[in-house]
Amino acid sequence: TVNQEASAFTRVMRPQGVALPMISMAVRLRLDEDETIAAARISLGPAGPVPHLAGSAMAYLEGRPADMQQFEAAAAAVLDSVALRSSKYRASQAYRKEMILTHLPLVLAKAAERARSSLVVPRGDDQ
Amino acid sequence: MSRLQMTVNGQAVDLEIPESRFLSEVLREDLGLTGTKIGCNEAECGICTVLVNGTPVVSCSYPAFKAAGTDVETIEGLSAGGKLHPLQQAFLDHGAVQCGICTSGLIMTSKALLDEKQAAGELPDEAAIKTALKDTYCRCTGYQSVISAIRQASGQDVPPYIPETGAAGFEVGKAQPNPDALAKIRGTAKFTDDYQFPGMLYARTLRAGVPHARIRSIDVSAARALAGVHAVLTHEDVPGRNLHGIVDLDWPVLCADKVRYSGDAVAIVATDSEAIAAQALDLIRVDYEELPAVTDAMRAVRPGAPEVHEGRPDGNLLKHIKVNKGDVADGFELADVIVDRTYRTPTTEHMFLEPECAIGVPAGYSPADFGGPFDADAARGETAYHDKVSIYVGSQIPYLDRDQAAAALGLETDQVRVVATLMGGGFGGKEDVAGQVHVAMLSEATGRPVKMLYSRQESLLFHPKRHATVIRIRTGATREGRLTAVEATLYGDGGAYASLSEKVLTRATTHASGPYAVPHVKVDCFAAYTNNAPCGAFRGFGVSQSCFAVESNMDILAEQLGLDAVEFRRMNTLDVGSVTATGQTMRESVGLNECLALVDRDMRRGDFQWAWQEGHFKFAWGLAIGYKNTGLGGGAPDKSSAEVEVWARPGEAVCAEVRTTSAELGQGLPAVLAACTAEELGIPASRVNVLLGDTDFCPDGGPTTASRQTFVSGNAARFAAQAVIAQLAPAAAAILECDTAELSFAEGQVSAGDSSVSLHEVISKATDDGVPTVAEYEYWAPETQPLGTGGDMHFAFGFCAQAVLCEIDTRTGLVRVRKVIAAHDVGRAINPLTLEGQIEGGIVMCMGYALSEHFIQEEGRPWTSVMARYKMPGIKFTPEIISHIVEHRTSTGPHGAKGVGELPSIPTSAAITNAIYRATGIRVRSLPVDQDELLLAMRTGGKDAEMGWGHTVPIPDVTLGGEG
Repeated sequence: TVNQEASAFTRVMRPQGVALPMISMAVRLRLDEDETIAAARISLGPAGPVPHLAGSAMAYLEGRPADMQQFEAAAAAVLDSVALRSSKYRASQAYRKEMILTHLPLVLAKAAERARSSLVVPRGDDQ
Repeated sequence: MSRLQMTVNGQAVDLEIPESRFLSEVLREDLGLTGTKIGCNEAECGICTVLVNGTPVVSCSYPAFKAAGTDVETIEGLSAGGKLHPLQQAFLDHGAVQCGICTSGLIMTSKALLDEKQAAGELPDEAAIKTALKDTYCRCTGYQSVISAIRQASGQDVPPYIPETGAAGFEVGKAQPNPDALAKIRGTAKFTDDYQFPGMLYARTLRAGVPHARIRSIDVSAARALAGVHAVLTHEDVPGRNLHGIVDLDWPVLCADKVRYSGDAVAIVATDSEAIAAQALDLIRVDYEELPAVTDAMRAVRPGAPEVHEGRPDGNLLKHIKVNKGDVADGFELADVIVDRTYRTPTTEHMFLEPECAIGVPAGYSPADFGGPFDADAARGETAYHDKVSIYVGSQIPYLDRDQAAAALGLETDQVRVVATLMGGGFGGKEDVAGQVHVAMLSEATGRPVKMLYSRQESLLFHPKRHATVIRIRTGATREGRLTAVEATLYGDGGAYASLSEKVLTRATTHASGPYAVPHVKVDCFAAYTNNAPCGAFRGFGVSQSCFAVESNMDILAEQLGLDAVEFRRMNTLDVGSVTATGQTMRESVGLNECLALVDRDMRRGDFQWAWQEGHFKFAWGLAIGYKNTGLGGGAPDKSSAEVEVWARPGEAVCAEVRTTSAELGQGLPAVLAACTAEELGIPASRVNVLLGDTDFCPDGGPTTASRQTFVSGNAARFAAQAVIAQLAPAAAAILECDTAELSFAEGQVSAGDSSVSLHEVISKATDDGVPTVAEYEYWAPETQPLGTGGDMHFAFGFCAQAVLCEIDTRTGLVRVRKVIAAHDVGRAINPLTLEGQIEGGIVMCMGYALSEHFIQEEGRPWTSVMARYKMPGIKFTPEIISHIVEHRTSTGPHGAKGVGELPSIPTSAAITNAIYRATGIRVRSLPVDQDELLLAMRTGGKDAEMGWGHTVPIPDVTLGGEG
């Protein structure tokens, strides 16, 4: 049902003279009645000329339970597919990897929680 | 052109204007509402905020026609009818107005918040205020007073934060707003760009754009031929000396043979409009032969480096500064533990929110000649006759500007006048000349007033910065915790011109063993010329740099010795009787231990822990102490003159005026001068007008630098007032039929025994008798000795201790300062309200130094080319600040005061990195802190963060004593 689908977003910023985020992550999850993941969309940026749609992690999640263990595995899977780079003054590749491993499971968990609870998210609440 | 109709402050406006105009231009130029200020023209700083249908917008980037049909509100509309809006009153009462350039933006943004909350029946809490004002910057206040003012204006009972100080005298010691604050909150205060002289032209400067090049030729013919161009000047047109400089004359007014940094001035134009000026610059052809650039201080002083100034015997070595006390070899022999680390600090930018602006007015100018109103009684301003070349500018050193302009124009100094305008922040960045010499030349060349307003981007490119340094420091102590020796070697990047490099880096050197009694000290500092932007004065004046290194080493030592960081410091602090690294014996006014004790007490309240974790946040306290000289020191003649005049007009209370060229940059000097004058005269400070900075009307107060003005000009005002009283005494004695020795002047009365007469009557009699009611006093600060002689290098020092509570997000590495406990020994608080503003603003500025600020240059070309690339702390990052004032009076300062301008902006950065170490075990050795580096170190068990943000190479190895 509609209530079992939700999205979540996060971005990591720095307080210095770089207006752009170090990395951003947006996810959407649809859960089945039994709370397994029916569909997942994960996109990240900056990760190249356009936002990166993390196909392998999305495929990995589909049909699996919506729990932290799977979300962490999905974040690890993202690292296999995404081509992160170091950008001067903005963020290193290693930092961006750490941010994906740290924050993507949290963002997925937030989307799952919203999908379960039918929580209406006020606009801008993710930031 | 199109027709724009809207309502501004309740008045219908109907204008025929170009479609391209922005709202700020319509307000300021077409409607004359100059209370709206421009700080960046890139929608970054927010100080131009006005309300459009109640919504705050940045007017500098808001197309005017977008406001068609709307209601626009500006600061001028808030007090229409004469009554201050509650926000204006609260900003005044809380000292939330300092330089005043951002005030209207802050107030208008706050008004939108208050209106919104009021409509919802809510009161704004601190979080709501921080969200609403997150994009409106203030460089002076540190925001605490802004937050409390907004809360009070909303109806909450939030009194101004005024630290406890000693009992007030008649006026000295009272917390009161700066006299100029009222005009600033009304939007009527005039900064340089707010002046519009009839017949005025607009000027621009052609800048090099390359860091190092020989000039083969300059062709200005096409620019001169452009319609609307009145003058195009190059080095060939400089009538007099083509050099300026505060210490060394090495900076061309206009470059002739070569350019030495990207911001060097090559040509200047005066035109009918800013648009034509931009076109004219495009038409100037300069043929450059690019030269290899040297952009690193350590490389610059090595053999074979490209020479920035050819023919100097020392090449790029501007100065080798040395401090020697005892024998460090002996000192380290006595040490049980030695800590040896190398640190790095970045080039930083003052980011005063008012870009530089100067207006030149030619000799013999009358506004009537250009159809403007003329007022024969006006001493200055757009309606006045100007008998000599006059320069309107917000400057920290008006007399030196006058002298430098006169030299460039080939005139005598008394043929040039500087009229200081209000300054929208300075922090040391308005000591070197900017456009003031250029506008004088252009006004003389054209016979018209000429305004030169720098864009924010030009300001960033051009003006001198804070020195980047690399500091290796070796500190030794016995296992009991006694410091035995400090050896340090510093490299400072002075950039292309000397500016104040020698003085700044001398201060870094002499303060490089910290506020401690260390028996053996050896410090070598190498100040280098490079092809980077020149570096000069910046609040803290070198000591902010060395304090970071000193206080980092102190925490490392304390840990290695197993001693408490506070106790270890206390065992070694300077006190009365101690001898500094330069051999000066401290004879009085050393309140450091009291500062340390107060901060320690507050920090340890409750269940104190140095560090703990809550969820994914680590918390820790960090502490650092600092000191800073007052005054020029080092044997430099240090004096200030002030003139005081009194009047007794019929039907009016006695009033006075105090005049000097000491500069107000937002630090609250007028309040100090008014109080010092009023205290002597026995009249209310509100009856004392303060006239600053007109070289034809005010005696020389000297440079506003080195935290000196409260001390020297405060004294000059006191003694000038005393001289006036001495002149009035015979008249009073005649009325009271007594001897002048029996007289006492207090609270508007002159008394002798049981008889008294009003001061008003005495002044009236003196005036009738032809006795002068004005006196000038030239105050000479106590003599100091040059570095190396071992005498008193400075006549006073301020001391402070600061503890900061930091929060580190272990998921991102982001560091936030949550709380600061501070204690500052200022000698005597002349005005606790404005003093607190200095302290809070200084702390937040130094927090920016630690966490976010870096003026980045890549091979001599600024990457930080726009304000958006330089983040000073915004309101969201401002911490809670608890501030104690310690008053160990000096015998020679006014009422014991010794100045405070720089002191708060010295130890905060080290306190922050010390807190980061306690929280994470990672020692930050390069500023500003990089959360990327910090997080990766946390994840990998790293112990050191030595890159910092914005640096591309690790901290270089430094050989103690230098490389041969």
